Amino acid sequence: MNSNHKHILFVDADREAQIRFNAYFDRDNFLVFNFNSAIGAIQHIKESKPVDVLVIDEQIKPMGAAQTLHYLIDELQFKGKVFVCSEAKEHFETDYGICEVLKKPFDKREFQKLEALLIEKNAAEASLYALDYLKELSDGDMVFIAQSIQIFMDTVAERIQEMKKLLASRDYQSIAAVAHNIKPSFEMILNKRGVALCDFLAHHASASDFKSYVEDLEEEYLQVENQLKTDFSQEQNLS
Amino acid sequence: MKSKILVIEDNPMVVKSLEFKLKKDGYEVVVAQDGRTAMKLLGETHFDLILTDLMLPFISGNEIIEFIKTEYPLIPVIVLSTSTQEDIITEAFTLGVDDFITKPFSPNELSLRVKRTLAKV
Repeated sequence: MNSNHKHILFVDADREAQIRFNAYFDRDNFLVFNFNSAIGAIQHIKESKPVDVLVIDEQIKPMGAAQTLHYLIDELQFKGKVFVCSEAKEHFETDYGICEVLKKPFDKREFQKLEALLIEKNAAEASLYALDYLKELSDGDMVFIAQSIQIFMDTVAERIQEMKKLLASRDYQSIAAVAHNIKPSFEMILNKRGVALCDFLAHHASASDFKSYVEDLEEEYLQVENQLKTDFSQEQNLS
Repeated sequence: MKSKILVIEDNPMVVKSLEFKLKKDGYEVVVAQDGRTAMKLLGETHFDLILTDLMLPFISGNEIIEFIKTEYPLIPVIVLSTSTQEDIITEAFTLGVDDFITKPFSPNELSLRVKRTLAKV
């Protein structure tokens, strides 16, 4: 099994819907698990198997989509993305928010909507950061990794603010020096865009480039920070 | 007795990594985040090896290397550099540095080069 596969739980007793769904998603990058009732899907999630998206029929037996979702969220702390299959509704409301709907009978556009979400998720996961280098360096020492991530967030944020102040005084040489200094921080979390932006600012930028590249770097940093905070607060490694 | 290494580096993440790896390899590590602090520490303590960045606040890496090679010629120096600093690295070698490691460093490469450089002393 390829770890890059996106795992889709398709929970719908309608045989024709299953055939259409599988015909579209049964290919590279997707793994579809079919269930005719909510019980099988609950069991699958209970066993902590990976789920990138849950697609569930509004009328699924035995308790319908709404009650199944309540159970999954309350009892199993399920946090994955959910699509509800419905013939009539545009949106599907639960106590936990609004789920997106795949309109039945299915057509290609509905599947493309789901595919776009999964591709977007894949791209975001691929580009923001990875801990491989820090793991290799520390033999997987999670205390060291969490401390390094905290240092990344504390110091890079501060230095980007410094860059913004330097922009006001048009001190481009100092901005280049700061970019050179923080480039290894992006390298160590394997964030390629951050590395490329720092490299450009440090060695190739002309006066007219600095403002927009510093803004891009800040935007990239904020995305990484947001993802790190989400991931590490889930693991309770960072405050 | 543990060999004592002076790390002169101003990126806190790189410092953290170097400290972690070198301590794990059994060395004593002292950190200076700029050239002035490094010079002060060199006057106070004996070091068996120096690992230094080339772009540092206040005093450049090559100025520090020149200072070390004049005042403490027996202490070996390994330069920490990025791959885009070819000219500066070449200049560092003309000043007498013993080796260089690119950032972010490979953990095994760091261990090997530090061990090899210390063995030459």
